[in-house]
Amino acid sequence: MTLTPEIIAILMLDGLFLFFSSIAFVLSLKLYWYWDRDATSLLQYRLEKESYLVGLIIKYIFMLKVPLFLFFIYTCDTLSGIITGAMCAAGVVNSVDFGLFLLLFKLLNLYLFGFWLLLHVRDVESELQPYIRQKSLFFGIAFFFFVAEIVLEILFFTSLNISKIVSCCGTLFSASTQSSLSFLFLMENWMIVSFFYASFVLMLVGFMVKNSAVYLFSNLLFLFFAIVSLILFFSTYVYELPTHHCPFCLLQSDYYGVGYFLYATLFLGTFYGICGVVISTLTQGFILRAMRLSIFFNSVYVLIVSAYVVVYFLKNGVWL
Amino acid sequence: MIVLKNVYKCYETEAQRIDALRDISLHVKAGECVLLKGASGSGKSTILSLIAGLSKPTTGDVVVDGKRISKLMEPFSAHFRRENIGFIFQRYHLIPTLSVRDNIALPLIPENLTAQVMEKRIQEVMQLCAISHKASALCRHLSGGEQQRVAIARALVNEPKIIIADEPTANLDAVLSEQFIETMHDLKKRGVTLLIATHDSQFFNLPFVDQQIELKNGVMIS
Amino acid sequence: MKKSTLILIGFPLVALMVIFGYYVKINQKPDDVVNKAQTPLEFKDNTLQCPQCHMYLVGKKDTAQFVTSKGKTHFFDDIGCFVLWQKEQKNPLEGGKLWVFSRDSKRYIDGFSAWYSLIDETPMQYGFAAYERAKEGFIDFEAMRLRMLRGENLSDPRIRKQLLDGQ
Repeated sequence: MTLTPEIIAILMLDGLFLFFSSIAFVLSLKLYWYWDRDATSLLQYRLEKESYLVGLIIKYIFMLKVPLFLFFIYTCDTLSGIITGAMCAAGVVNSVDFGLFLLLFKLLNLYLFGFWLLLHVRDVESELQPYIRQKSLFFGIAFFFFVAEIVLEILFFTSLNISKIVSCCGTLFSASTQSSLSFLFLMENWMIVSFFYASFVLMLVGFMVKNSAVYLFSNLLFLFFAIVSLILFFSTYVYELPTHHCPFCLLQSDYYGVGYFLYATLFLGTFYGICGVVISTLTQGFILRAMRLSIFFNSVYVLIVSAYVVVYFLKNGVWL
Repeated sequence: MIVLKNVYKCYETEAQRIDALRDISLHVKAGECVLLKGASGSGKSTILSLIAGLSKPTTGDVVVDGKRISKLMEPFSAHFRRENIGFIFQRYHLIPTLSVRDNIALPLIPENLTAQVMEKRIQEVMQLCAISHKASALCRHLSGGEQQRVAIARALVNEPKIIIADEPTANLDAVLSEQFIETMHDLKKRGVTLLIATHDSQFFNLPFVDQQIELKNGVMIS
Repeated sequence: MKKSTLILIGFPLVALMVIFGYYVKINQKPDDVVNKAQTPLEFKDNTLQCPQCHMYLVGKKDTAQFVTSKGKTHFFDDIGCFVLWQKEQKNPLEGGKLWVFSRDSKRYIDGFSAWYSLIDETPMQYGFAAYERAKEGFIDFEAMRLRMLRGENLSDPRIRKQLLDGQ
């Protein structure tokens, strides 16, 4: 097992999170089963105190998961220096069979954890704390995802083998080889980019008519096509190289770390568009704010990726 | 205005369990003056802290001005307390390094009032409590009676509906105690609900006291 | 649900499903197709790998296709690779159909009833090329299979010398 300082930090935090979240899980179950807002019994007053403790534990753990995700990517990036063949985080992630699955699973979990945080914010804003049971139930389910992620992460780091030669991103994100991602290259670029912009237009339509179902659907489409179009098309304009498709190299300092900014805006935009809209079906009065935040971040993302293409064309007079 | 229903309050330490209140139920109407009598440790201060939302009952319900204050989370109970309740503590709880004026101004800060409105209110209560001449003095330099008057002024500055006073005349001489009683009478005339915990006999035969509740070992005996 | 919502969600969803379905269909590799009819399939050069030797199939000459009873088609660049693969995988032959490209009729024929030469140049140098019509010295499928499993093929230098000198 490779133990770099970053891996030690992640594993220690995982251990702490596992301990505290287990306490929060037990208390959440208790809250879900026994919570009765109107009761004035000893149990209910104890539950009210415990709800504050549970909320605090989960809030801090879930808030920290967001920067820890970025830290995980950063750790994989630094590991690429000691794993033969890997030039960036892509090679490290794919050196383990379930590496890509773990990454996507972590991304899914960010949405789940963020959803809980939004629900928590809406809950504590109200005197009556109307969403305690929903929060507890949701955490009861999310806990299993959380534990699965930690277990997979530990297995990931223990499975890394510095003596095994891995593929670099040039091989992984290539149409000519049989990698797990080469199926993306079956679709033509113009088609994927059209779908990307079409989903953004659908999002604008959903925003203008204030239709939450359409907005939610368009964000789901947008998330998928944004990632695919970034890999297939837009990344080549960032690298100014038609064969370089790696979504991880965008994070490197050679490209001014634009990847962090792109992924942050994409995540925030789609998070508010998906989770924000779902939250507003449970709570009242949040839908407009969620939509505005979502459209803002998604627009920033679209503008930046489009700008790279336009600037390249203006500078060179040709497309890649 | 204030309702306590079957309230129990227990304090548990490693060594023992203390039942501070046992099955207390009381009802105070708006504008009433209620006296809580009893020896030290009988539970008077505990009832007052429950009504002010400073602590929660072990079981039972506390309703103040239509709000179930025993069920409110801390930020909401603090907000409610600031808006509706003026608390005069037994030990004043002033900030010794701040001036009289600044101590009185503290409850107004979260209210986002304009400077003129704030100043007007502060001057009014300082005059009411006869402490204007000490406005810029630090509280640690004041006598017990003067500090008590500052505490009263601070409790009144937010124009609360309810005044809770815990042994308010404990450190006052007879003259100041009479002045305090007059202030309370004025407030009652204005419709403020008063809850006073005391074992000062000056209060026991006052004509404006509507209820006298006697406590012994956490139980209401009258 | 409002009519406009239904249109704004339904139409893109249906359109995407149709487009993706079309793309999946036209880009489907022959070894992913469900071949219930168990017929030999067309393939493009350099797209399919032999599961035994991992070489890419180029042209139909000497290739073999085995279609299982469930319709999964496996492609081999040499009949010898099929024999070795079938033994390793312990795949049952019952219900499956074996197609080999014959050198004389230049088409896919039933591999179990085809005839096999011993000394032809085949991609993996095993020497077993398939023919539709029997000639002197040709062997049937079972004999060829036994020879492959015993290593009695052109890839063994002793056997090679024996077979070629005996010519």
